[in-house]
Amino acid sequence: MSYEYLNTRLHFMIVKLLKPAQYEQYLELRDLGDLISALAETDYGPDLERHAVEHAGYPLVEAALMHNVQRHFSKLWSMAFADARPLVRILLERFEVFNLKTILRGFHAGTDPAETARGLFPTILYPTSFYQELLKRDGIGGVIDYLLTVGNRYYKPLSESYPSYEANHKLAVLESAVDSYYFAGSRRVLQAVGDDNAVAIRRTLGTEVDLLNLVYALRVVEEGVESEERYRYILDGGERLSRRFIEELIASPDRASFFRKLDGTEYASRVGGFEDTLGVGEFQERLETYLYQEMCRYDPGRTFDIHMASVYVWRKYVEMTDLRVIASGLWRRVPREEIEQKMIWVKGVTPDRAAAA
Amino acid sequence: MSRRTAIQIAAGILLFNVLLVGLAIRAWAQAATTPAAGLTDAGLKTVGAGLAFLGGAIGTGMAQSRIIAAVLGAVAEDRSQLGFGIFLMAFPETLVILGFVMAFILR
Repeated sequence: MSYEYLNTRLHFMIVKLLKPAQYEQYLELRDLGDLISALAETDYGPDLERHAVEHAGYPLVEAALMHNVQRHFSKLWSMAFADARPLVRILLERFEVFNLKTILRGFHAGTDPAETARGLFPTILYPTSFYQELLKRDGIGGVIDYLLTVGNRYYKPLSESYPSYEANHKLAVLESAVDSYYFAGSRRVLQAVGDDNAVAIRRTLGTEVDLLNLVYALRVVEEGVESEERYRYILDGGERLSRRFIEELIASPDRASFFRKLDGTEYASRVGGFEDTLGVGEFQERLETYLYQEMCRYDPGRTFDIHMASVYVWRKYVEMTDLRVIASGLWRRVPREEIEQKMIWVKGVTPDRAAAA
Repeated sequence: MSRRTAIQIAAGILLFNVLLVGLAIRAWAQAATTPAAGLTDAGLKTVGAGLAFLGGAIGTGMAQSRIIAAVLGAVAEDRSQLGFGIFLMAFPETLVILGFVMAFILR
């Protein structure tokens, strides 16, 4: 097999993703029943039909979305030939890391496990039962023990950072450990592969690392952390921002100084500059919007490499998240503005936000 | 089809064509009534004909290896693409036909 085979199939799968006009149509619906009827006409039809016997209402949509994403990601995984498989694994493992962090966050905040389960993203590398078992634990310590029992590799970074978490109860310690482990492991794999496709994936991961570091740096500046420990949680492997630069940002005395230093970077010019008054929440939102735009943008000149698989995975993620938001909003009968606020907006993938509003 | 397999196929086609050219030269040498002291015009024409066919065959092999993989992918997703896929698969054959015609003209 080859990228010609993989990417032709992916092209057909991308064509089946929802169009901006469909999102607009769903946003105008009055209740969840209408959304289920509308989704039944799309690629989600077979998934809705399959779960209609055991579920109804929002749980039906949730089960169908989960099943649909798992079905497509499993297909991508099985289509990935020897050269592409480690790269596709890195793309998909990102969601396992996301789920693991969601579970840790849930236990840290004392959230109801059922509520945490609703925030999980469908994955295929680890089975659903794995996450169900994790959610049955009595705390973060129990999660780490379970990871050891089943031989999951994320046991290592979590068990190493757990004593530090127990001492200061800072979730960032555990999150940073999981992220570092994932990014460092992925970089090692990419280095071993070493071709142009590996470089493309490394750039994708590097951009994510940069954005995570930027959000972390602003949070540290806002909270006024003075100890040397603030430099400990910087992730390595950024694409455009060096560790030294992030350290300089962290050392900023205030937000104004932070944004002045950031002004000259490529991220500031691409995002369109940052106001001095910007809080961490909005800063993170803007960077994430930029990340989604970058990752979902399809370059037609790159037909025979890993780019299309990466674009597909990100677009599917956006579609799943937006459908979840719309379905949940219609179910809880929240105003359309509130639904729109929580959606991910990507040019060319979802409708233009201003037009939709 | 992996890159290695494609290279192996291309190498196979190359070898086959080199063999063809070799046989053509040998046949020409045997057919010559008087032994020539070096390459004659007719000999150079034969070599040129072989090279023309060789180039066309290599081009066809390279193009088809990628097109067939893509067509298989398309048909796996949508069976109605088979007809257009066969047309696409056959399209690079024009290269080898052109090479053959050129070889025929030169001969």
